[in-house]
Amino acid sequence: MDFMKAINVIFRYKVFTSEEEEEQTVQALDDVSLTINKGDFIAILGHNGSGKSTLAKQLAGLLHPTEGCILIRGLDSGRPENNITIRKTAGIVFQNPDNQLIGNIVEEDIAFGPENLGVPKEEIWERVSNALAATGMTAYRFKSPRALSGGQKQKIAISGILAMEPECIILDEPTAMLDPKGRKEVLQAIHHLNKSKNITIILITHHMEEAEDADYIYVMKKGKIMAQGMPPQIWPQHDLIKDCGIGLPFDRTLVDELRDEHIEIPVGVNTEEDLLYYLVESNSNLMRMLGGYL
Amino acid sequence: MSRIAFDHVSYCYGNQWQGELQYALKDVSFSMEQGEYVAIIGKTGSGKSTFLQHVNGLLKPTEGTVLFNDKDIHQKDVSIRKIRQKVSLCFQYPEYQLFEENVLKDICFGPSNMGYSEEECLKKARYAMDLLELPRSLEKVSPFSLSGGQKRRVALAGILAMEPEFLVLDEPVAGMDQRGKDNLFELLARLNEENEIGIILVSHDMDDVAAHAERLIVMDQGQIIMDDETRKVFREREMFKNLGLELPHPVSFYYKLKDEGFGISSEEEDLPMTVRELANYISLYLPKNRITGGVV
Repeated sequence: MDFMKAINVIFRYKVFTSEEEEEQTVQALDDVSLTINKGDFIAILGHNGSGKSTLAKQLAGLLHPTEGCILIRGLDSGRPENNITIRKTAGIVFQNPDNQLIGNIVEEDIAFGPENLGVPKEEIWERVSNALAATGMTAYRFKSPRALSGGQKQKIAISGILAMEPECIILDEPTAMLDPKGRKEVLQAIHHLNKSKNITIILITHHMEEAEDADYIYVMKKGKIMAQGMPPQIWPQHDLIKDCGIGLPFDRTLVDELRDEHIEIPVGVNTEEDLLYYLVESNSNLMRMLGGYL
Repeated sequence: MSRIAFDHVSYCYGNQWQGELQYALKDVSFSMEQGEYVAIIGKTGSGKSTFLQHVNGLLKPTEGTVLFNDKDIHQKDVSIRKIRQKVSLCFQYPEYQLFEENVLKDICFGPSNMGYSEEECLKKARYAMDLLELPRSLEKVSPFSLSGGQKRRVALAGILAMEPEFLVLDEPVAGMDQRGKDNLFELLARLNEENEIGIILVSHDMDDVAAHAERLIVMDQGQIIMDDETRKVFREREMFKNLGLELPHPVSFYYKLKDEGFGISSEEEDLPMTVRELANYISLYLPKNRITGGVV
């Protein structure tokens, strides 16, 4: 049985204007099918408005398909009686850390989730400790969330989800509001959870760099999945990625620009480091050759 | 041409009677002309936002003066409201400030507060919508039903409808995808060149800063520690390291190439500010393959 499965999902919603008779329908998801296995690290790439957040809410059971169906551990998300089980399976972390923290001190905030699930008191404290340890935030247990940086707040939000012990965490652009340092911290924490606790991660982002270490990638545009595959299968498709409104990482852009300048870059040169050494070597070869003539 | 200037501006917060005085800005002097494009960088907490809030008088300096066209903006006979119309501040995530029932009304809010007639307000609002390429069909739509990128453009339209001479933006592309970013920077460049609007941009993204701003200000602990042409500022490798700031990708890749002995080491060269400039530089020192067009 697949862990999460979307079968030909279509989702439409209505937009209201101030003059009520004009009602517009937006199709946010258009025939989306995907399969996610337990323990996978999945990245969903797409520009703003491509439907990736809608897909995330569908997988967490917060929205239901207009047509098609979503199966979470074999349970149909369209049936109300499955709601509670499905929502326990996946937790979502949103973009803005300030909108997600409610406690006066960090440990209170993290305890809020398990407390609502009716977990016994002793176990709550155990879960809080474990959740803080897993994201490396133990030192901040008795601090006020307000005194933390953006990256730290986001890690607290992740801990809060962890304390509910979901099998899957969906992160909807968790680094969009963070500075470069906070961005790195959060990504490290997510990868650590995936590897050490075998928690399924669905990372939604429009930064290709963040998807680099994912097991599998889906690229979305206008509610459709335009491409899917492992990173080495997706990365060479520069034109498709640009067409989907996603920025290429620096080294890939440089490779494109160099090829425009008629400079040969072998297909196997895949990282910034490879590129650096390739360029240095072909430069020194050229110099040596010229040196021979001079 | 209008001009903004800071004359030895300091700003303190905290309780001055209990001796715990904190300087958010310390002895900052600066000036810029209307047509300039300036970026401010610095770590979180370096005083960038406090600086921005002084530019149009949202905060009053503890010491020193902020001048607009050589007049102290906090003097009694100066209308701070007029100054704020000329120097518009766009906060982080301006889309959170949308509130009206439809897009057109929201954009009209600024000009109608300035006392313009309804007709003039509509004219200004439509002018701003055209600048941001917002279609007329959105006029009656609720701003809350728009996508994130559209919301931000509506918020910016509300600011541009005031026809400012200076536009001050705090992280304007945070959370935007590549296409949204490209569009916004294109718009800023157009406003700067064609409409001669002075731009002050605060950003954490060094690549954006390098590619777009002509002049760069580096802040640390409430002080301006460097203010020069963007290309020159990034020569200060040591300073960036000490401040814990990153260099733009093209610049840091250029330095890595140099460290490995690429090119001619003795020459003093211009730093590449964009990936294209970097590729141009690299191509000077590599064999070209005209037949395959670079693809092996």
